[in-house]
Amino acid sequence: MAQPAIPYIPFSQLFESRVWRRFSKTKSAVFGLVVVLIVVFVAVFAPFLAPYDPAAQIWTAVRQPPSALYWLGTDESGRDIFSRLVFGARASLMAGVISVSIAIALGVPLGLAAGFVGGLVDGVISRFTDAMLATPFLILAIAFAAFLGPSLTNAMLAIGITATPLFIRLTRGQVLSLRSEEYVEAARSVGNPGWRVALRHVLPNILPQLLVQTTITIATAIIAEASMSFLGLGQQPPAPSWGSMLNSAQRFLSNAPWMALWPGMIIFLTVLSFNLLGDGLRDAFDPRSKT
Amino acid sequence: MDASNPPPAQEPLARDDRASGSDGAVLTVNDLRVCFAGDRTTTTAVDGVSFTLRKGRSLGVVGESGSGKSVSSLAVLRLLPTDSAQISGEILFAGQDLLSIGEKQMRNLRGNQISMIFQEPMTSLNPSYTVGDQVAETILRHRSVSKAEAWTQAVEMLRLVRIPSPETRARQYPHNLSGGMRQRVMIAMALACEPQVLIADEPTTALDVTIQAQILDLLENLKSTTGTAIVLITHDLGVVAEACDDVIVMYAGQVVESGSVEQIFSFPQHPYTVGLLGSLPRLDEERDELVAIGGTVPDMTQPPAGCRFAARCPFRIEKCAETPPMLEVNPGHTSRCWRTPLEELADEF
Repeated sequence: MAQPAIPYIPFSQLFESRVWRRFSKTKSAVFGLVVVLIVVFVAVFAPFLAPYDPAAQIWTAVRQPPSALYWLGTDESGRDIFSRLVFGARASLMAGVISVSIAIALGVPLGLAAGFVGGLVDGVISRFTDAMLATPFLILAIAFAAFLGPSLTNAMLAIGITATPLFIRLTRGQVLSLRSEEYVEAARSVGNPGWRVALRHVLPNILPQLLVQTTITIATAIIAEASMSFLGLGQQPPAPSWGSMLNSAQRFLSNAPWMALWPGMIIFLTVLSFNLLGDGLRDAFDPRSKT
Repeated sequence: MDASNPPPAQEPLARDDRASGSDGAVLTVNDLRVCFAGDRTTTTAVDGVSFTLRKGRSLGVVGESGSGKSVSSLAVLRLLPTDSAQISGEILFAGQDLLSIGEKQMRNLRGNQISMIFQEPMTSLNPSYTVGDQVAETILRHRSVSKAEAWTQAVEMLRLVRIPSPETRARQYPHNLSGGMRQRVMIAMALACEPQVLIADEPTTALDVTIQAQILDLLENLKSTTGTAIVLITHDLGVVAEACDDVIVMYAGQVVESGSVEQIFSFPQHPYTVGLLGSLPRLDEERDELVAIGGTVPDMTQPPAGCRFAARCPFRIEKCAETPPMLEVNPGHTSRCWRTPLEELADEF
């Protein structure tokens, strides 16, 4: 066996499983999970949590420092930063989730095909993957986004396409290591056609690895979205996004540092949490880990 | 494998078997050859293997690691990777050559007419599905029955392979079951569609000795109740003695001796078989030490000319530089050795 098989856990047994026990013992991973859950909660219930309309400009309160009225201060057009951060979570989270969904939808089938069919199909898909992975992630994503035109949808599409090779390579590698497993051979020996073996017998067994990759790629995608919004290629004004908030903040760094501080901290915290969660999941799923 | 008068040709059995298709033979393999093409070398894993499996009988295939046992069985089911393995010869099943039918036809045979059980019960079940699902899947694949009906049949199969409280067990995942239980599930899966041929590749090797006996006993029972013919691949002569009717002994990709269990165990005619039997520990006679066969299996990228066992053989003569044919010793008992019958050489040894 090239790699220890990961035991599949039915949902009903999740909280009694070894994976959960190992995960819950890792403090950093639990911290990551909690922050991610908070961000999700905030994004979903943004209208109820934000004290102000994130786009409402209050010209009498421009660049106000944090106060009881404006908890985190206001920006250059008098918009409440806290409210914008709360609504900005939607853009960031959506960018993360939707772009990674695109990457999974494209990457997993291509990876399965490359691993299972082999030969020329594998050759073409793998060379294409190598070529894309040879280009830095952000540069490639920005190139795609610039080509597609500036909008949040296009940014998500660009990030999704750029992240696709990550999933192709992961899936292909996992398929190659699982293909020689006896249960895969056994599935063929009872007369299952290749596509059925791939979808029913291999795919469910690589879900843990895919989950880990998904979590970590969401972090990358959030950074990419913030970077693109910062450059004006992502979320368009007046809709809030953490990246575009940083962009407008850079002109006022010396006299209104809070404008840059909060979105920067939130991006850092969210990305860190997704990474901690991903690392925690990887260690929890890996039977060789020490905990 | 009855060659009535062995001609000097290298594969005399092939033709004879082809002529005798109606004597209850379910599966006839003629002159099977499997080569794996590497980057620079070609490895001949199976070189001219022929055997016949008869209805309701079990055939033991014995040999050490790398002798081509497993590759032969995977070749029968056409489960070898098509891009690297070159297969030639004839595999006759139900009047057709399995090597010339389409992949779709082959898929309809797998698990339905010919099934296989694997060596490692710990890894040959899918960890993501309940065992009942996995048995039912085979039934659904080959029988036009409803899901509920397939489930009922799957539970019945689990009962047949003597899994206690099969209704409960069917809803469990492989990791909830012991090794012996999992091997029973594998057998249930393989027998779910009442195949004519069951290929068991080292079915007991990974199990405790007590469980081994239970599994062999189970196979024996199923053979007599369902009439399924069994090919039992093993390196364990004890298993063969217990569970088989006929035996072929393989060495370096070739069949070196073939006959009934009694013939092989009472009058082994190939020096390799003699060596294998000599290396078997026994309690009923005094032995100071076990006899090991000196040397190692030849490199199959460059198999030696002539007899492949010659380099390790205590009875080697000059003639062994020529390739020996399968020579008949007794009716139904053949050996690939120039010096057969070996009884006459007793003084020499």
